[in-house]
Amino acid sequence: MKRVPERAPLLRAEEVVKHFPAGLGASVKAVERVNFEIYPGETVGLVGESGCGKSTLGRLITQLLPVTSGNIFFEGVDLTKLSGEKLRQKRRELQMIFQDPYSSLNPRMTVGDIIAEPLENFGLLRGRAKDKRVQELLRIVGLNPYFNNRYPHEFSGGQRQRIGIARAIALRPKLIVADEPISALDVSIQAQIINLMEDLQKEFQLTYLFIAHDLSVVRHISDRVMVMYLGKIVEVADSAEIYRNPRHPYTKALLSSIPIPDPEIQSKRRIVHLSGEIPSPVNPPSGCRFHPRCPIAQVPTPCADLEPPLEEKARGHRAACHFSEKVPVAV
Amino acid sequence: MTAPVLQVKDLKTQFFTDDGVVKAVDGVSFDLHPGETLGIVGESGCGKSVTALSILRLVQEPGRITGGQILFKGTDIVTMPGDDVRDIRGKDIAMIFQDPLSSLNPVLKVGYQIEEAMEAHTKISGKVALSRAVQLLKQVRIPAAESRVEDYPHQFSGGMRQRAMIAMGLANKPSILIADEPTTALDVTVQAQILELLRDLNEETKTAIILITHNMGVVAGLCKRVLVMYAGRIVEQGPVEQIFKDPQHPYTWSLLQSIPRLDADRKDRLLSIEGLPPDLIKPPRGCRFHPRCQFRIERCFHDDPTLMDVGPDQEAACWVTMRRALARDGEARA
Repeated sequence: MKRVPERAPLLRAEEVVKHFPAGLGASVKAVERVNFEIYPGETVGLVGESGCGKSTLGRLITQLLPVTSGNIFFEGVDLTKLSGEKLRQKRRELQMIFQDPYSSLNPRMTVGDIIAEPLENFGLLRGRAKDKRVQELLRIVGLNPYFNNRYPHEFSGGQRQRIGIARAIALRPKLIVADEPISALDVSIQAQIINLMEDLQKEFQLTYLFIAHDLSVVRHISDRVMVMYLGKIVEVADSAEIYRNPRHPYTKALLSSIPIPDPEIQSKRRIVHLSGEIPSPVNPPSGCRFHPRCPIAQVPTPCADLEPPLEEKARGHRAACHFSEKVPVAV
Repeated sequence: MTAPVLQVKDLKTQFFTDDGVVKAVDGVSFDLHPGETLGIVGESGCGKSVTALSILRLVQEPGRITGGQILFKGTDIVTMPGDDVRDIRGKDIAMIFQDPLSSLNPVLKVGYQIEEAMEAHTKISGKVALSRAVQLLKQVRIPAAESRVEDYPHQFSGGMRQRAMIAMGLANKPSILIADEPTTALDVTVQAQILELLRDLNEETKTAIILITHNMGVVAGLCKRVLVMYAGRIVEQGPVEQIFKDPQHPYTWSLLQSIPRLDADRKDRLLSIEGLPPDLIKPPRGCRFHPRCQFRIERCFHDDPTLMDVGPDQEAACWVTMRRALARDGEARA
């Protein structure tokens, strides 16, 4: 596939931690000692359920949130050590697309001004040249170039997401973090946006971190997939591999829960039941964080007292489970 | 086959706005049989939720049912006095909504709210109501129901709140449960559990279920029959297996083609339906889907199709149908 592992990673996260204060000295452990790489030109899918820390991780990478500890290297430069103008300049290459196209565009600005804002912030283009660039960007994302004087409310959800994408690519970034970019859109519009993102990736050699809870969409768009649970990455593998051969019981449970639009297949599938609810990230379980809900856990030893490391189980396939060989195969 | 428990005939629900009359539901007809599981699918604004609200006469101003009949066991809900509709609501036909948190009263105990649902329709003692509430929570698989009945909604997780809503819906043993996007606000693993619960309850209690959703996968897992809605109309209906295997309306076909599937190999491009759903104040002439349809013919521009038989127990409102469209494309390529 597109990935060439020998190349230097575009982004490398090392032992990244994010805790939010939760009062009375407690803290929400949103992201806990996370390590991963993103290679140039690939799409990495980041999946997990609400509260697993995937959006926080996306915001740490784009430096919209400061890390509590750990390092994030972008092209070898540690973003967590940058501040002020140096960080601002680096941010040109790291852009973000948000979930809600309604609240992420300023309703009082014209679409042209919204897209031009990043160009102005960096003093790149002025006057006619800027207008021309804005119109070109509108055309690239499939909107009428002469809509630049309209306001966000005049556009549908799908069109607004196109505007958000135009703004994100205006500075020709290298990495785009897309946080649930299609989950607020109607089904028939979702495919339009996915196709657009794939076209742009080819045209501008973009690298994507695609955050989503919908594993079918992630499977479609990603080269590699990372699964998060309660602040930790529990599995990373090539997209086809993780679906064919999940090595973490949580991944397996997630996959089995996704409804397949085919009544014949759906009636024969078996859901892997997870007991209980997602525990609080203020006080995560000891050992493996998934053990209280895991169908194959052995308690107390090792699952409740030993945290399994995220280690290589097959080539390019890492999982954090003491019993990864026992995870049943096939979805 | 038994007599239908619900017959919707040529239902029209319109919203009288300052911009004009929105024809949200425009001539919808279908039958629901006892114990049946019926899915209504479509995108935002297609009229699926308004259809559901119309059945319970819950459409809010400026909306109004302007035509048609809704026969519940033979009696028309549309023309019924308000008091009689209130008797049916929650007793014979119950409804659960997408967001369980905003459907529950935050300052009342969950158990109390379930008891309230029962006492609204039958005179029972507090003791009986309480034990029945516990029993209902058990039925929706809430662990430690005896103590949970004393909890407030905020002490429940999202999935448990939806289970509590379902318990409340089932409190009076209704013949129909309408579930409007019941799993949309929930995580996938919880969604799977709620769908399984609804499937089990349908078998245990024989309550008919109308499931309203935008998610084709959810329909495939729960329903026996499905209606596909577009722009206020039913464009296709039939048994779930039939519709998913052999969809005849280009809209149904395109929807199924446009969603990435977990069990399919990675494709290069998804089929996308170009354009946007139409404005229901001034819907397009002819077939309402024709501006977005890649298989349209000349007739589709001016002639509005009605539902026609296209397969065993399957109807579609289309002049072309996928069978002919795909054959035509095959010929063109050959």
